[in-house]
Amino acid sequence: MKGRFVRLGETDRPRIVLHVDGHPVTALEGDTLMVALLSTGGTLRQSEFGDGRRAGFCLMGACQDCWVWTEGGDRLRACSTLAAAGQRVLTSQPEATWPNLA
Amino acid sequence: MAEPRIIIVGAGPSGVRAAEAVVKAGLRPIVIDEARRAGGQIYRRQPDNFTRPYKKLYGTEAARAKALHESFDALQGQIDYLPETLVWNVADQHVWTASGNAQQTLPYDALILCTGATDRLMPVKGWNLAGTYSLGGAQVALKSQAVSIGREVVFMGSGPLLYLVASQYVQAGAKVAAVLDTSASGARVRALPDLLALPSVLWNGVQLTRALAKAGVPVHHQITPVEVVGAADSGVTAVRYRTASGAEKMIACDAVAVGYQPPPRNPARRPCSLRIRLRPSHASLATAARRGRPRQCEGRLPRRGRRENPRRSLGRGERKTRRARRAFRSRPGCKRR
Repeated sequence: MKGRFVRLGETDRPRIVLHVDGHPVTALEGDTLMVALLSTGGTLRQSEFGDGRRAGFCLMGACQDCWVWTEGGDRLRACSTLAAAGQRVLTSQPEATWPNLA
Repeated sequence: MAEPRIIIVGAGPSGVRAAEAVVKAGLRPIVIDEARRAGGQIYRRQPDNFTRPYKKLYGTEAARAKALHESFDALQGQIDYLPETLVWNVADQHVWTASGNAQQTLPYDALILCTGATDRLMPVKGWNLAGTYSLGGAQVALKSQAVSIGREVVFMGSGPLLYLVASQYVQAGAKVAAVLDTSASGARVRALPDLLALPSVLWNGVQLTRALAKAGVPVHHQITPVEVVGAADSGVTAVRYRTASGAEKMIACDAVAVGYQPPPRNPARRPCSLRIRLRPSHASLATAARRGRPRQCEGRLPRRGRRENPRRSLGRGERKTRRARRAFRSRPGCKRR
């Protein structure tokens, strides 16, 4: 599927471009990160429980199902974070890399 | 004596009115809000650059929503407002807060909790698939972001919110594949005097079901949810349910909004209005309910836990909260039992 969420209005807003898993994604100013990702894609993130992909649930910051990551390693709640130009978002948890002390 | 430090948690209808009362008493409260803007859930504000008028967004609640937002805006400068801040613990006359990566503990002399309510949920097989949302979540998507949660949405559960959100979706131009009601009859939607969160005119069963019928949305009663069907990587493709007669049916869809009617409250407890009574000498809650002429509460009452209905299964969020609470209480160095 292309986009999961369907825009029903309020489309006359400035466009912004962010990056998701390295690919450019166009959203509208005022979108949450969740809407930015789900208006062009079908899922938000890889589930940490091994049961596939998730796309959020409560949209009000309670369910813990919409966490995404920035390339810098921060965790963001997609439902309550505004999408902003230049964001670089990852939909899978970045692997921790341990220094090789050998 | 130094001024009592008042903390209000929540900036929905209750929190805003509490802040007004405290300010009127000559004090400056701290108002802590998890959201970016005040308003809570029912009166959730759309982003600044959205253009939908209040009437379109809030329907019969438009005047109340406007009044609430304007009241809060008028409080700026007289309160300490902490948006996007989560209160995750209350102990030792402090609240523990988290905002982004920043943590803070704030002391209080009186604490007013206006944390509102959340959806009543019950797990169903497949509810973890991408495309399953709570009824409240489906409504937030529409009200706050002008989107539908999918191309073909099934609404499943019980209670007036089921019909309200489904009809709001239809009126906004979304495609609703079906409304699946676990309760026996739509007439029950009208006869719910104890649902304080929604003024009666909002959930007029006749109005709501008429809007759905006009749009040709099939409504099925007395169903039993069986499974949310779909693929692990791409999400929901259908909902399977059992009819009243026991036959199994399936409806194709790409999104499901689920939520159930809150448990019936004690009928002796009438709708009440809240008066804020300040007791600086007391450490805990400083609210008192005034039972007088029955009147609508402006906000939702706090959600009840399992004690009120032990047979209710815990929802996803609840299980996580309880696990976290248990882990926190048994952390090393914790003196409490």
